[in-house]
Amino acid sequence: MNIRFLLSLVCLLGASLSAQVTHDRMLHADREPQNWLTYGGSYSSQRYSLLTDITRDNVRNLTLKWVWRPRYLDKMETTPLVVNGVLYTVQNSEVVAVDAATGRAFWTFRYRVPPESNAYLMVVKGLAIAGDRLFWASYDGHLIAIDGKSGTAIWNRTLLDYKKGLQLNVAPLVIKDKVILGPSTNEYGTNCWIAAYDVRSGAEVWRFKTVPEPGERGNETWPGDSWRHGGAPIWVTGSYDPDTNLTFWGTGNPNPGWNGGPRNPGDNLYSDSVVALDADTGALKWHYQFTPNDEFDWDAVQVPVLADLEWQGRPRKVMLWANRNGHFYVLDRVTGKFLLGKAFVRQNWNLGFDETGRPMRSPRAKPSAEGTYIEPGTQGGTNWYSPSFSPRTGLFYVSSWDNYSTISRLAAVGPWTEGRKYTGRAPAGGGGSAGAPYRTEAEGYGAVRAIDPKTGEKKWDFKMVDYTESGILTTAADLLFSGGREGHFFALDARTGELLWKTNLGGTVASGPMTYAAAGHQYVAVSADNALYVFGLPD
Amino acid sequence: MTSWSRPFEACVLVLAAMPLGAQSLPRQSAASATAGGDPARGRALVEASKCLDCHRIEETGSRLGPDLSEIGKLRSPDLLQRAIVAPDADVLPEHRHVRLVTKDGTVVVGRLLNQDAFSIQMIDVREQLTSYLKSNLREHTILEKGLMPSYEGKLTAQQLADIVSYLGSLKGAEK
Repeated sequence: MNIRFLLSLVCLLGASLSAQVTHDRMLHADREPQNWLTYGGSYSSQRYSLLTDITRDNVRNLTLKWVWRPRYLDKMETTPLVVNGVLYTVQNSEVVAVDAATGRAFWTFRYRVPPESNAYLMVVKGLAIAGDRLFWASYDGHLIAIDGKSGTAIWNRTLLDYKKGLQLNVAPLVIKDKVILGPSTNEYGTNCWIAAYDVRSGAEVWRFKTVPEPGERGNETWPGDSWRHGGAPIWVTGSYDPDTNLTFWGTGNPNPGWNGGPRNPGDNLYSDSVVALDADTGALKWHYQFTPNDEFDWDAVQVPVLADLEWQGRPRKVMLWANRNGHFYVLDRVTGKFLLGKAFVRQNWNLGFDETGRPMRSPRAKPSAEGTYIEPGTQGGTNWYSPSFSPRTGLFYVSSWDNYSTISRLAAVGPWTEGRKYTGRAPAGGGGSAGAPYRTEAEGYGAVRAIDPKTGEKKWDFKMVDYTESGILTTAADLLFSGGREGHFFALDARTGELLWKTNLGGTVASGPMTYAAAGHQYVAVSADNALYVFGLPD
Repeated sequence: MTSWSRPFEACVLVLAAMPLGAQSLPRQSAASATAGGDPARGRALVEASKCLDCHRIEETGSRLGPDLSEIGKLRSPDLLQRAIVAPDADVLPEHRHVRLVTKDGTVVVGRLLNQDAFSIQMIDVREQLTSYLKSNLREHTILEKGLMPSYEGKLTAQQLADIVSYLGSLKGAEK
């Protein structure tokens, strides 16, 4: 959709494009591609934009328009929101509203996050918005509602005690009058959940425990008391299907992560799963577990991508998922039925799927005292990086790692202690991937990988020497934007993978790119290293 | 029709515009500023008047003028009273307003939020965050006076005491 047409559409829509972000606007985010209303761009999390002013022909002319650099040096993993010419983003302890065309600040909201709350993962993925309220989940465990006009706090709720090994990194998801999110634990063996909070008051409305307690369905998959320290964190934002009123969230690995001793035998539900929850009540409608009894840290820490496809001759509402365990999945998102599973990177742990979609784990795929060679490695075939689906090309795009690890486990996991890591992994000899740029391609590499979701077959690769932590954006101009740890940010032809433009931002690109329009121009934004960079065509 | 006359008429208070240390007017004791004041009557006066056309108290009112939600923590009663009767005595820089004239002659007024050599950011009378390139403006003026008229002689002593008493009670909601 070009800008001129968009401007006329804006005039026609008039009042509906007021600053208030209503549920109806969220449902029809495709009608206002100049804005970016959720972490994944829309409830389907396709990270696909209808903007077409930047094309395959002119993308080589992209120039840097402005930069926002927060006061903090932490790696920036944030995807901004854009509403009616105002860009909102967050880093560390700072939330800002800036003019989307110039980068100049309207306001800055500061909140002191205790540095001791988690020095290892002081990252935040982004914000959510409802009405004119922004929602920020700080990693010390607060959910804060901020007035989008003035940058002042409306309410501030403490959701958890970070001293127990919990934190919030996720960009929340607003559905109707609820803001939905969950905590993560970075291997501290503290059980996690997904919960909905009232956008007006912050009061908790419902909670789904990702590790069920005794008497709850799924607890039988945890032997003895192992459920008490099962983990199953929430690291990234979910998606929403308004037709079924289901919200879908990926869950992280069980604890201890690299030694299943205390939790064997058992699948350890609902770790490493996608759960489909009623958005009004939090009731579990279905689940699919990608990696039962995981011992390799293969979180289902991916954004569920929703698409409507022609599937074996009939329309089907599906979910596309490239998992950390190295397999690409297609699920029926109404029922959770397994439709397709196929490795998208080298893997040596799964002998195939049974008819229910359960993987058949190789008996050799067990951590051992002497070390077990495993593909993909601990970082996975992909990780938390947002993939993209283009309805135009029909392709699914994922940042992939072909890699390996050697996993050594402790003979005894030892007692769980609050506030201490609970991994079961041997501290030395754990192995890992050879570091770039010294490895060969046979040892590992990163790539933007295009997959045909109807077959799971790879269509093309854009290879890098190093791995990539970047998300992916596609547009209706058949452009794909991504980056990587080498510091490059680039545009590819979404149909062929051909490189069309690149620039070097001097630091890891570890965020999902997004695009928007303001003041009559299309922009592409990406966070890299510790800053937000915004590109556009020359004036 | 420009939108810039409305805030002049509508705004009643720019209380928070006064710096904490403002001492340019004769100091009045806190007791005398609130003597006999009834916060409930003061609240009714504030809500019935046009105060909230410009000011905001918690989740009610406009963001065009200073937020009064916790003004009672920030200002003494005598300063509150002085801000009502002599609002232009001091205006904090962060509460200044700006008047723009675009090249097509449109006049825009709002609260100045930011500016640099090339652009100006404001919140306008519709409470929209807006940004203008200076190259697209015919003129722009930062208003050194507040938008609020003086209420000296327009309120009875009792009404003034009631309003000051109410404003002094605003300490901010628990967040």
